[in-house]
Amino acid sequence: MTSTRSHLTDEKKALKKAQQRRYPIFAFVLLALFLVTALFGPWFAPHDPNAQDLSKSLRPPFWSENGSTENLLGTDSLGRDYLSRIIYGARVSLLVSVVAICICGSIGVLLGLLSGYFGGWTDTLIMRFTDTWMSIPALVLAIAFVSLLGPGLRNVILVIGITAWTGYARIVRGEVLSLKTLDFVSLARAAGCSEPRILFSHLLPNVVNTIIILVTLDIGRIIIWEAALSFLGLGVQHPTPAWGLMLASGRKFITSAWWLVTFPGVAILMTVLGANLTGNWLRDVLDPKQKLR
Amino acid sequence: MNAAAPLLEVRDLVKHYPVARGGLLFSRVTGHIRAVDGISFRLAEGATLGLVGESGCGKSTTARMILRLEDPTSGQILFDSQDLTRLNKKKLLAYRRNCQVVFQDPFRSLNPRKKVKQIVAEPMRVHGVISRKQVREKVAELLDKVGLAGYHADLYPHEFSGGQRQRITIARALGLEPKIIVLDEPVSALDVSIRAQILNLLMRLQEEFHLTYLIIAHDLAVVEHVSTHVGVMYLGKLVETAPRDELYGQPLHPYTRALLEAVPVADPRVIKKTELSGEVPSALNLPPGCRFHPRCPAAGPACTKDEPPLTEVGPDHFVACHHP
Amino acid sequence: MTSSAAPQSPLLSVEDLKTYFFSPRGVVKAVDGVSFTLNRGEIVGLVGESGCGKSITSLALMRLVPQPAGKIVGGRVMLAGRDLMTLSEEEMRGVRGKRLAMILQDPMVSLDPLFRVGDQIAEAIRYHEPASKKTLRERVVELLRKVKVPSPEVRADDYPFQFSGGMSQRCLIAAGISCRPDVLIADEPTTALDVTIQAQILRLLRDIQEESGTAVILITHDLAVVAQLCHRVLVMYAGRIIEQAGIYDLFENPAHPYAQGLIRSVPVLGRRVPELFTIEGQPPNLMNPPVGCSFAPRCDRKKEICEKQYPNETEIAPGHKVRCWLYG
Repeated sequence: MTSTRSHLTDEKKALKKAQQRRYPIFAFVLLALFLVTALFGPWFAPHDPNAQDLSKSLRPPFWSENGSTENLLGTDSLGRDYLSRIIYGARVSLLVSVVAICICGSIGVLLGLLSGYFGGWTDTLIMRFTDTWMSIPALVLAIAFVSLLGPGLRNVILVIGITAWTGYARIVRGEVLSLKTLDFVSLARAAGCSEPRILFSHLLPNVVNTIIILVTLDIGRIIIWEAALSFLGLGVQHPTPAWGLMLASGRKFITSAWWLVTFPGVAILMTVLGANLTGNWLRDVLDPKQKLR
Repeated sequence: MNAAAPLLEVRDLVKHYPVARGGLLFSRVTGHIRAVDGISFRLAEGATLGLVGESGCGKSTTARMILRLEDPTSGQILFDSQDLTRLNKKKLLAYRRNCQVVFQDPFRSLNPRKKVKQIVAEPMRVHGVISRKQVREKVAELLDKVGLAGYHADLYPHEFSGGQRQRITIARALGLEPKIIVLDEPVSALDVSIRAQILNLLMRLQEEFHLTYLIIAHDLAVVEHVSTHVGVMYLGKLVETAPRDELYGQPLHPYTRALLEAVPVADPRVIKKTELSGEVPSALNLPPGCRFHPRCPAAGPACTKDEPPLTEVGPDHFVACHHP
Repeated sequence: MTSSAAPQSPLLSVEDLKTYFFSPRGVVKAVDGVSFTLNRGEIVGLVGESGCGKSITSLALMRLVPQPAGKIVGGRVMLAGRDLMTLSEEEMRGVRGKRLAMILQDPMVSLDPLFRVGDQIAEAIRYHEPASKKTLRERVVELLRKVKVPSPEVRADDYPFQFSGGMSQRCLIAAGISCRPDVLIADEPTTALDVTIQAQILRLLRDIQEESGTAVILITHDLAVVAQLCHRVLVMYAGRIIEQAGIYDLFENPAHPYAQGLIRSVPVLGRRVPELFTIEGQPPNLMNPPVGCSFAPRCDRKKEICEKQYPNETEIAPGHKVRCWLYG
């Protein structure tokens, strides 16, 4: 029994409190929404996103005056259904983020592993290169690459992949630096394990959790990158529906046809928010448990 | 350390770590940490050599050099009369089959992402000693030898206690049927009641597998229990080596005596009278002459000038002291 | 070793202390009904292996149990007539350092690396006994001299990284005794130190204790350290004290099978045996523990009742208590 002036805690209450789990339901919903839309969108998009009909040009969303339920979110200047374009735009965002992350993740993780494990000149060279790469404004790099390779979906993925790896390299290097002091690495060397084996069979699996967290947090950043590049005309080109491109085209009509900018913007916001919050939660869940003890 | 060629011999082994002052691009070497500063000893087949000393004496560094996890600055390590410091990659790999290790911290010795089966079988797989199909059987055999059950092979390290993890590491070390096992503080991170279990296991395995042990420890009672020979290190040098009974019965070096006196005894009737004064000096700034002289109760004028060499004063009993 | 203090009302009285840790997977009963007393001038050893609850017991006395998972759920801690469990946090702060002081295990991490050692010790004093900078400085130097730090006036201005392990521990002891506490809790004070330095620190603790008459609770897993320093011993296992006795009594007539096993299984310098005595099995899992004596699974003399009910405390000789069905 606890009295009013007591430091003692009630046992039952404390147990109940510890057993409450908290999940970021909101973040999961947003992220799920994005994934479902991107993967299964074509099945429930009401119209062909590229079908033009100039007679229906610039219709507002269905709840406004002059709007109709035929085009729930209205149409753009060429009469294309906006909802369908938003849905198809999600596919572009997903495609870009997945493939770009694969590229930059691979580059970054590999460099981080080599740099952290070998140390010495390898480490110095790789890290100086990373620092240099990081100090060039990413936009300048992107513009440079695009002028070399030309715009388009494939190239924008490549560009993002080649510029976005530096964070992975540094963080993985940090993890490897502390991992390699652990005795199981010395044991592997004493057993005669080759260096590739130590890197990929011993160190990499212990870095995977960190990579998962990085990737989840990166989805948002990469989607914004793609949108920015497309917005600047350096990325996806007409008529492919992509959220950044839609933002750019809608700029001219910002006062007259507000929905052209708003809906792609909201879509980006929701997706990035969902990805970031999920990433934060993952980090809180995975990190403490993965401490080696 | 008899007339027959020893299994392992170390001659004038030296390891210096450069200390650098960093600049923007280039750094200057301003000094050296003389972690191991010229030690020599022999390890006969079937013996257990206990290397004792306090932190900074260089015993762990010595072990790592013998395991070829570090390269010596100079000196020779002879295994079966082969100089380990001059091996090419292939021969080095072959050497590793003969020399395995058990480290101190059971919580850092096992890869948390691998099953016990993979951990125990790895050295054998790397050397091609067994095929994939033979893994299960061989691992079960080894686990049994160290007192674990067959089903443990499919579990992950985090499901085991400290003592059990150490057994897993021992099982792994046994797989290649090595000649020498280096034990770097094998029980100091374990609970007191588990230490005895592991020590008994190690001694049983030594007999069964005809192993030779090099055990690094700071606990003199543990070393007394398991060793046949003992070497005492101080600041990178060997100050005394002798067969176990000799060393514990007739310690000659003042540091050895101080160490033995300092060990607390689990008997309230034993009252300790004196203890060694002073601190271990920095490895960067060694005292001139005998390294121990600032703390030595028997120091004389010669001790501040010349480093005493390791001289034989009895059968197999070597001391580095001007007046032992 | 001085004899135990003359019988008088105890300085510290712990009654049925319970500290549990709550996690989604269940409750860890780290300290599960610990009772003992401490007299003036006494050194009591709290001995046990990792996970037995000895460190948590000391943290609970100081009300420094790691939150939010750890909670003190029961018990009384009487110090000079007041139950520490009924004090407000502010009142408790007045107790910590002044009446109850603590020295932690690893000196290298107990000192803040950013501040000079002298300032850190002064800070400990200033909270309880405010004084001018000059006075504090004098006290700090005096304390460092007392713990045998050479050139204390110079060393007081050094940073922690400039101290070795042994010297850092001396500084921590200085901070611990700075306000002349009634009780000093030393949690594994020599575990992280080399054996020759350990001998120095043990000697220092003994000398200081004799001079000041402070009561000391020494927490350790090392029976030899206990034998050297303590008047009385409390042996802990799985969150409870399973045996308490005077130091000679415990080593000559250990009663509890665990205490017997522990004493017998430690290799002793000069005592050669072909094989060490072992206690079979593993330390118990403290999460959702089974009923009955927690040592039963490992005990070679267990009876039927041992698995059904936790043994009560029996006094088998004056001052020698044990919790085991072999005796009660």
